[in-house]
Amino acid sequence: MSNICTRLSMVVLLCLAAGCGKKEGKLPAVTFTPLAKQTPVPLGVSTVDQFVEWVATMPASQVEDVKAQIAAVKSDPKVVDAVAAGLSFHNPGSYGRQLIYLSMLGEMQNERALGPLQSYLNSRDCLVSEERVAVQPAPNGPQTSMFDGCAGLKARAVSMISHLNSQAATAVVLNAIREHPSRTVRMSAIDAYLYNAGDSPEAIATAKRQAKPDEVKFVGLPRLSPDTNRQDFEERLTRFYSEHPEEQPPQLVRAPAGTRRRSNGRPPRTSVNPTVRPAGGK
Amino acid sequence: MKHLKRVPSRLVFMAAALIALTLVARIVVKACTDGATATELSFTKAWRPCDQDLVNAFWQGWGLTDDSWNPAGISDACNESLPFAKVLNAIALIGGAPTVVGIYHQRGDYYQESRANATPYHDDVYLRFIQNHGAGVEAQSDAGDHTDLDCPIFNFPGVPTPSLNNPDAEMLAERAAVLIHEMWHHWQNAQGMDSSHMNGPRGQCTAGSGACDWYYPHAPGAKLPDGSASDDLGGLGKTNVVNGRGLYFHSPYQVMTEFETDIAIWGSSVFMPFAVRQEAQSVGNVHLTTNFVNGAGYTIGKPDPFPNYVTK
Repeated sequence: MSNICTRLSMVVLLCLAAGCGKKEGKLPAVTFTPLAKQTPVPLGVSTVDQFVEWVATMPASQVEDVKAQIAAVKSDPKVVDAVAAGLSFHNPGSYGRQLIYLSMLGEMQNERALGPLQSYLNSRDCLVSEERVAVQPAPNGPQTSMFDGCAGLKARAVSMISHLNSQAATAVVLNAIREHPSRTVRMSAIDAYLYNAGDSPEAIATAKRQAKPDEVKFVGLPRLSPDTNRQDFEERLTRFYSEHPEEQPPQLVRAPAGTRRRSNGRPPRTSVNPTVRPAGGK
Repeated sequence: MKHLKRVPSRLVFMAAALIALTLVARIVVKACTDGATATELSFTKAWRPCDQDLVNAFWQGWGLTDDSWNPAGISDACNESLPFAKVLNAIALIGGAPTVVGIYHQRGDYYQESRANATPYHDDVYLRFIQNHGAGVEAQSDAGDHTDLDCPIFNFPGVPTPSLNNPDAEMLAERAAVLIHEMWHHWQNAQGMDSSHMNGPRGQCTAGSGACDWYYPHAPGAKLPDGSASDDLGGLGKTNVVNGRGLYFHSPYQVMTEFETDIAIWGSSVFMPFAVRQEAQSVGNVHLTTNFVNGAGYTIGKPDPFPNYVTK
């Protein structure tokens, strides 16, 4: 009897170790085809939409082509105006398209873009979460995902203003660090200001003077990019949390006993089978 | 004779019912504004969205098996204008996440974790399509057995949501990250952890109610006490908790931003459009600065207009 019990316990232990009762599904292999390199679109007043379409669909390897096309017309005020005309919260096209219009204006580094970028940054047509008074929780649903798109686009706008790198543009950026209602925008303004000033000690000191008192500690956060030295990044990340222990997360919270809800196996399927073409379609 | 009279009337009734059902289906799908961005369509060209076997594998593995998908494009599964195909595209992006050394986590981990069922990360669950949970809500998980995906991650063309002036979040990188985020709630539940978000604004979290998390800092490729690293296969599911403190741990918003970082910084320059990575950088930085009660101690990428994402 004891022998059987021992064997049974061993089976249970082996099961626990090997994850019996939980079969991992085979992951579907997705085969990818390289994106074709496209013929660069010359940027002009009449080709702005076509240019944006190209940037929206091209592989990352064509970034230098994009920069070359923009460099060729960056001094042309009509082209700057034509690109700036694409900035809109009412008719954005998409979040990604707005990012591209903003990037184009930043890349042009033409002072003429400052006005439209500044209007966009401070627009009341797209309120950031701090300005929205009534973000209501989903009923009985605290496990939600939410995204502040207005803050994302305005953060990009302030980055591109900073890239203009003129005295007037810098004043706008410093003002944003001081008093823009969005924390996302303020953090983006700090990062872009430092980046465009070469992360110099003087720039860091200036940004710290402009930042809200409780945001001074976020001046000079490490950037993670393809050429970042990983060890240096890890050291700076660790240093940030050791210098600011108040920013460390607290102890973990376990769910109260008895509140864990388990699903009862795989739920029954109620959908129809997927088909890649609609019934009767070509 | 009587029978003959009844046949046409039945046919008329059936035809009317069919038309009504079609109309209802169209109305429901129209509740999300249909259409796809050029970037989304460009990514679609890089994989095989019309491969029935692959569609079936995604449909079953990611639990798109609720009847809520019937009017949301399940019968037109490679039409990227409709929610069903957009979910498949997001799954494909996860399936194309990077695999190099020195990233936050491996493709295989994100891919396995984001599955609805047959995954070591959590119990079997399923995904539902739903139109609206409230302003700005992208998705919501029931800690028990399902996750709801809402219109904001499908709407095109990202027009401001009338009630809150907040653009929708239809971006491919965000949609994929939402799948990862929501499934992490089920991981929390499987671990016996509190799977709720905190209400905001609070601390550095500027989001509204039910959208704040803690950030548990770790670097890409961080070493773990067992000698492994976060970028080893299986690294996502590990924890290092000492005296109740998560020295290596993840919250839902954290795991989504780490995915967005991996896509932006180390995503493929071969088959991912530049714009997907630029969007990943942008949305990742938004989450880093809006959804954590304690400050996240880094930024994703350089603030260049056109960053050079091409990795050697």
